[in-house]
Amino acid sequence: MREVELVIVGGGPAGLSAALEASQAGTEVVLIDEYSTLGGQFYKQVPDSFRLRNSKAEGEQYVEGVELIERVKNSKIEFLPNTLVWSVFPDRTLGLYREGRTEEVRARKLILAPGAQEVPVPFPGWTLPGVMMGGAAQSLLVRQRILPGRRVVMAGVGPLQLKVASQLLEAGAAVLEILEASNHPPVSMENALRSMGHWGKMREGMRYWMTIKKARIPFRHSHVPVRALGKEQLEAVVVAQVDAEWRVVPGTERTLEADTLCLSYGFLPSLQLTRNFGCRLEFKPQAGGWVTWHDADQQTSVEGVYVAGEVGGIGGADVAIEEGLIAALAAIRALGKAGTNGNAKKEREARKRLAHASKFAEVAGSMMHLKPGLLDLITEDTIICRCESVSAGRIMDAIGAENDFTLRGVKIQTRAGMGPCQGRMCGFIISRLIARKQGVPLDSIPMDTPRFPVKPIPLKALVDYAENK
Amino acid sequence: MAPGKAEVIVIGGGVIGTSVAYYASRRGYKVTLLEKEHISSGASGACGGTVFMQTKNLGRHLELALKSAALYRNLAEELDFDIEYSVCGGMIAIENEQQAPIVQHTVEQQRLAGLAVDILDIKEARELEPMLGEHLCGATFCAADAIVNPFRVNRAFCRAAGRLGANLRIGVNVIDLVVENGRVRGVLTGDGPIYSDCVVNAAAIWAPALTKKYGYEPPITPHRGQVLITERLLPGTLRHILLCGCYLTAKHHPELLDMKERQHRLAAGLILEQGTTGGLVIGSTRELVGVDRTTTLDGIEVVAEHLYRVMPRLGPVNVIRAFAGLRPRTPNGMPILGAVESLPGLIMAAGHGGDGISLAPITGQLIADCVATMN
Repeated sequence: MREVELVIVGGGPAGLSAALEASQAGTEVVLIDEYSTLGGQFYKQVPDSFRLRNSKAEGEQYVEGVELIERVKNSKIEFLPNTLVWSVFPDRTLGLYREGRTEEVRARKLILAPGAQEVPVPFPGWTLPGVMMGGAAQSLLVRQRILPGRRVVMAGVGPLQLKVASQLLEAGAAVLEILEASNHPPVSMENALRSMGHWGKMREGMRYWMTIKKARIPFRHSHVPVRALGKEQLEAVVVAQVDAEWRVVPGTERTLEADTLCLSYGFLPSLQLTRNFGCRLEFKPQAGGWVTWHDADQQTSVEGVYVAGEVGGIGGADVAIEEGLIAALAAIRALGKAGTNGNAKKEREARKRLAHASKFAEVAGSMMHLKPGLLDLITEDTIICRCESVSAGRIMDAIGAENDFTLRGVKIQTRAGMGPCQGRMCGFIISRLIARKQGVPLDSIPMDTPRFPVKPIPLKALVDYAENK
Repeated sequence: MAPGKAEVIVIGGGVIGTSVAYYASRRGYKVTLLEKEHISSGASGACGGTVFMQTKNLGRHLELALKSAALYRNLAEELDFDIEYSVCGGMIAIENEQQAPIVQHTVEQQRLAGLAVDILDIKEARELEPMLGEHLCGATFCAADAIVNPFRVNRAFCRAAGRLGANLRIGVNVIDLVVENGRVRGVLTGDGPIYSDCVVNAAAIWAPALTKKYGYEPPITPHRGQVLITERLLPGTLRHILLCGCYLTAKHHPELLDMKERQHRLAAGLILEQGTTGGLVIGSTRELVGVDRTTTLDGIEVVAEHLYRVMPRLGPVNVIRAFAGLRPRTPNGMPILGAVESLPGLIMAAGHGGDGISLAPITGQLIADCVATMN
């Protein structure tokens, strides 16, 4: 079996930062990503098969990504694109699947930087084609150059939807309205940024805001979509005003004719790898709920396994970059490769920047905190587990029946969470429904046992893996 | 009945315990069922749903299975709960020439015992089950084999028992038996004692630990069965429940198995069904590893290899999940049912191995008879 000094999973801001730092220090680095190009969801690069005439037109963030990727190409980092980590084994061994083949690699040290997934928010009609996550709409647009729709309603909480809205506008879509669930007008986020000296972020936010204002797009705070309507696909969105707890204010419902609804209700850490490794989790309500616990050196409860970025709590790219750097320095040290005196200073500075970036993450996290009224949108017929088509009514009946107040108990009764995503979507919602019905805090509902494989893998690949050993 | 007292105490909320609770309640007994975790938290929640007749040993084992099958026929109606029962028929794939005479012999014996089993050549077999590989030697077919949803069977028994007045105490752990002058008088739970002169031990792999200190240790050991689940396939991709011939080889001629091979070391024998929602349930290893429910790469690979060997066309199908269940096995493969002479007041209903689902109804009925005799 191949052994590598440092394996990094995830080629977003955290993984890139870690890989570049470690490689620079002379460490052997293998960098793995499921996508064909590096950059992750943050730098969202077009596939290599596309050619951009002018990548500068894609904005600063894109160009930053291009530059980082260029640095990786000029380094000794070995990048494995289109590679799925389908299983984790003891001794930091990863089962990989790429180009129809399986292989394994053992990492002397491992940095997991798998990033985040978007928060699923169910309401009647949310499974209709045309209703999509904001990040998904952005991926279609930026990576594949496909306009997700013509008449778009944006909804969610926090600044991401401003960015997606302005990107959609520039690409020629009609953005009908932007619905912000919280009662914070965007200016409050700007104020927070200004007070903390996050000038770059503030400028970026202001630019999106100006684009939206110039196009005269109504921005409505304390508003959410309550129903998506349509036969085969989305035809209209019913929106309503909500109170401070995001409960619908009666009599405020309006219908907007639209073919696309983008939802951006924040992010959850992608925990499937760390959970399969058996890393300890902790509950951080402002950072996405269950997150991977790590020490100040980014090491998890499993020796030699480090995390960087969203997997240890939602914090944004600036946090991810510094955590990647700190994890790399710690891993290099653990490999006995430290040496240069410059590292101590580098680490000190990274920690200082991390503290600064974390402050913003905290403010953003608290502003984006989901309120209980969102769960009230769910009706009996609303599908909660999309893989197995399990409705909220069936789940509510199962919760508490025969004293089942766990995800596993509900799963056995209803099949919710038994599909290909292993409850990555519905687990978040069902644990909230359990907590509400049982009247207990959310952190008392543990996640379900993670199961092999991390993500689906063809039967034949498993067979080949056995034969090739 | 005063609180803290019950006519019958049943320990264990799996298919066996809930079946006993139901049949005993139906006879009019006031039953208290004690389950330490939740319904189906043990082997009943980590298994397939095959109700095979072909796999049972001739004699009492097959007799029990046939009686159980007869009870299954009207069970959904009786319990007023869809248990997704279907008499789909079952096949045993004959993989090679070595297996052929063993299968032939078993089938002859089964026919003498009155179980209608046919042997088909591979062409006939593939007409019934097109997914079977062309390279196989053939297959058996038995129309009586059936499939059921084990989670729903468990839930159905539990709810029906509850409707008949059984007291379902879920999340209550049994710490010890209450024994006075050599006679069982109840159980000690995490919530205090409950008294009863009739205690049914349906605690599967945990059954021996309860009685060991009183000088009775039933020979039940956990056998780990690792199972794979695939993505949903079109209904009818698999038309029958299916086993492979090595299952019978392992059962009747273990000396023919090459123990150097991983498959035999893990005692893996293919057992396959398509669940009602379309996913394949692929079993299973039979490993002696103690109380360890983790899945291993070894186990998963063996199960995958075996399926691929028998049905190569399934190669591109995605595996979405693996899990393991602990089957309560006994040395002779038979469950331990009935009153324990050395410990009056105790009835055993445990040790069903991989037959818990198929034997659950008859077990409940027999144990209810046993309760009646005791009272």
